[in-house]
Amino acid sequence: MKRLILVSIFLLLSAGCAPAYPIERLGIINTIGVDSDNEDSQALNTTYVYFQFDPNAKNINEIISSKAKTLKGAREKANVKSNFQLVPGKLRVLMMGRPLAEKGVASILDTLVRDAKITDTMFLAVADQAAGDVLHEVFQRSTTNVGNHLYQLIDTNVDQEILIRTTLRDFMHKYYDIGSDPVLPLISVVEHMPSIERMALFRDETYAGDISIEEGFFIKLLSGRYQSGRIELSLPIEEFENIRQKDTDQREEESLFLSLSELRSHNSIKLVSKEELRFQSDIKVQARLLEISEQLELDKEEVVKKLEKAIEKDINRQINQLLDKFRELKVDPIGFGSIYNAKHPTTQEEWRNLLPEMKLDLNLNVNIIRQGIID
Amino acid sequence: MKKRGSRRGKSKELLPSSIENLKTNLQEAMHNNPDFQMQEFETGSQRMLVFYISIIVKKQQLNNHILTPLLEGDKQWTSEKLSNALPLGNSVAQTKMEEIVDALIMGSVGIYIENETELLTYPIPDQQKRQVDKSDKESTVLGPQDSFTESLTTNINLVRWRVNTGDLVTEKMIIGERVPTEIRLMYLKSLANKEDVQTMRQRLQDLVVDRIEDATPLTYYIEDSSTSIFPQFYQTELPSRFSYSLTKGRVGVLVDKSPTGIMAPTSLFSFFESTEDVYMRWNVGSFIRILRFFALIISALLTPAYVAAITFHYEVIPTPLLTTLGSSRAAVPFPPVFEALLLELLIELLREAGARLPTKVGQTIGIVGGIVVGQAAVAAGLTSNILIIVVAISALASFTAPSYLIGSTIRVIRFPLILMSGILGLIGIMASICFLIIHLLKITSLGRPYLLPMYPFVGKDFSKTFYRLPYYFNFKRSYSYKPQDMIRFPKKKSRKMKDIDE
Repeated sequence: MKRLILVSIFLLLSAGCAPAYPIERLGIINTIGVDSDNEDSQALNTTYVYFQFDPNAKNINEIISSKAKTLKGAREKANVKSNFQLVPGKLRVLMMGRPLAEKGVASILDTLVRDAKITDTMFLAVADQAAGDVLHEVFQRSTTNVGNHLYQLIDTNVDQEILIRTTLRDFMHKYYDIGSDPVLPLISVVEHMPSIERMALFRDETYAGDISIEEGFFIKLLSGRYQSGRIELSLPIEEFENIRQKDTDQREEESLFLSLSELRSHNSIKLVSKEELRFQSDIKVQARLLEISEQLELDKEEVVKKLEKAIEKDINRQINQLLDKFRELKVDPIGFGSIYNAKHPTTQEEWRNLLPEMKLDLNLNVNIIRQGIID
Repeated sequence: MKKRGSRRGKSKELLPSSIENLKTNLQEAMHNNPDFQMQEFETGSQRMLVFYISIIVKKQQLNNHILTPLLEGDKQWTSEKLSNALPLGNSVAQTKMEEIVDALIMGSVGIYIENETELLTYPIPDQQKRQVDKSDKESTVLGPQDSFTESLTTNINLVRWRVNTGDLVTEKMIIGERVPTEIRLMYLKSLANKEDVQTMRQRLQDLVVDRIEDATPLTYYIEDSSTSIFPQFYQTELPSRFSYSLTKGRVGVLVDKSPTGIMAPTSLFSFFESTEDVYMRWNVGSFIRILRFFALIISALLTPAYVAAITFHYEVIPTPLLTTLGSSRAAVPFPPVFEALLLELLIELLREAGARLPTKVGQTIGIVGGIVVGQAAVAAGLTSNILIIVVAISALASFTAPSYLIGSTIRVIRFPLILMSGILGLIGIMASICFLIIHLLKITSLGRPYLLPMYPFVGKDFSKTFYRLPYYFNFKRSYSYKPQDMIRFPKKKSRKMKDIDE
């Protein structure tokens, strides 16, 4: 009995140890925008979008900005402006302004990784202007729920395999890995709504350049696998001149457009020769052809074969273009360096210098497995 | 033998005696009971005394089977002749006053022929009892509907009728120093584990108590751990459930004046089994049984989890839910623990009021309490509407347990859980669950672990406890309780289908 009383007293006292976060008093941050300050290059302009549960407020979203030297300090300062306790436990998106990204983002992300309250699966993004401006504009000019909107924008596109998964964990993994660089979505504002227009390439922690979403497709083709991807291609029409069914179509076009969906790919990259810095990649692609701008006799095997060959050629061309771009920027989002590093340990700097000499042999095998159902 | 009260102190030679003497002795022994009647008759040259307590004997039987043959045609009677002649079988020759009084109280008629050395009693008790009725505490959709009544004879009748085998043993015991109550220990001789039978017998025999109120309080005297909140013996008012357990090798106890049968040993999980699972197809039965286990978890943990998440762990709430939860919480002036306790208390009040009031009023109270008060509480900003759903679901889930006892246990457990979750959040819930599990591991039912077959682990019995399998897999009895005979039916034969009679 005595022990029981002791235990209950202990329990009651220990109640003070667990800090309570009753949700009605919290401002639950879901999106942060971080920018470097124009005047003070060391300061950070931070914008928070958070949920607040005020029974009298019309909008549960609220936006607040503050300026401080560190991210945590910025939150303290923002707290002073809000009647709710700002907490980062449900942070889903961190958007960094382009000027900041050009300076380097590692110091900001580092604190996020250390904080156990912040989920590692939150998305990172780069804004093509100041991140705070993007958030403010969308918050003020559109009716949408900014925080959720940004998260869902990235999440649905990642789910549909249009974007490469760019969570905090993925970013830090690529950042710390020797011979591979992170990629983030680049968000711009189009008609007051956020939109992912391009993808930002990073060299280590600094913004190096950008590529289009279509080019981003090849990064994943080379570095990962597709379960159900899609791609739109345009092939030169001359190759199909003799098999094209002209009688139904009077239009004169320069290219043949087609769209592949439910694309599955499998890929393996090997280092073939260390001296030549030559890699070999075997990519197998299976896809469904659902849309094509010309009438081709797709039930004939040789037509399909020819089409497949043309697709391979085009993808090959696009990949080589992209690799040229990477070589020029000295970035390695595909991670050739880590393959190299696995066999021949190197350092980040060494690999950066080697990168422009890197060569890739592509063995691409495209297989169109279905062309849709035609009666 | 145990001593019973102070009533039986002196024991001097009573018989033979004169009618007058006996009359005064009896009158004294019966404490001048106004219902005690003595009639003096003379047949031939003999005087005889017929005495009984008028309101507990069957008058018709007394007249037709005792008085009529006794007084017809001036016979010369002796006690021996009488016991042969009367068409009632079970006459008892008595010489001691205490035993005579005991017999009279049990509804016997005493006949004494003057100057004989012994006196005859015939039990013709007139017990008031209700008809065998439909069970309303443990109602089932499928299967037998009858339930035990307060009469032991009826109850034994119901069980014997179901388990009509010579193997069924019913041991009679009398418990109660001041008010003796008859108890029957029932089991199947060639099946029930002998140790279990012996343990149960021992506990019943060793029990010294002035009076047992009912079968349920009896279990509180003889169960393994009286301080625990968990019932350790299964109690049912369904004869079908009672006989089902007997045929599974369990030990049963029936108590006179109680409509409840006790069964042991039992595990925590058997409180979530219903006979209905057996009548259902195996797959449907499995689904319903698993549903009940989920209901157990929901009813114990849903409200505490809500309180913990709202107070401490906003991170675990999915974002779309967070916004609705937050806006419904925003208007509530109390901390979440207090809010949850308030609503849980309201539900408990409703349940208690519904149980105490007559059925017709009870329904009205349910509507008033549930709908009107619930709606008004939300409108007044006392509680959030999501909590109402949470509390209602957990209350509903607690009623799915087929045993009323375990249902109320879970409802009570919920309160400390809510408090702990309000004090320490998920850590508090975890600590409470650990405490509960340790406690459950420690308690036993008739000496057998309470968490069988989970701990000690008996995988073969899972199909009898947590889910069910088609009948041809159930050719063995449960390993956990070690019945004397494991095999229910030959395995080979069960798979054979007889499609065409040749």
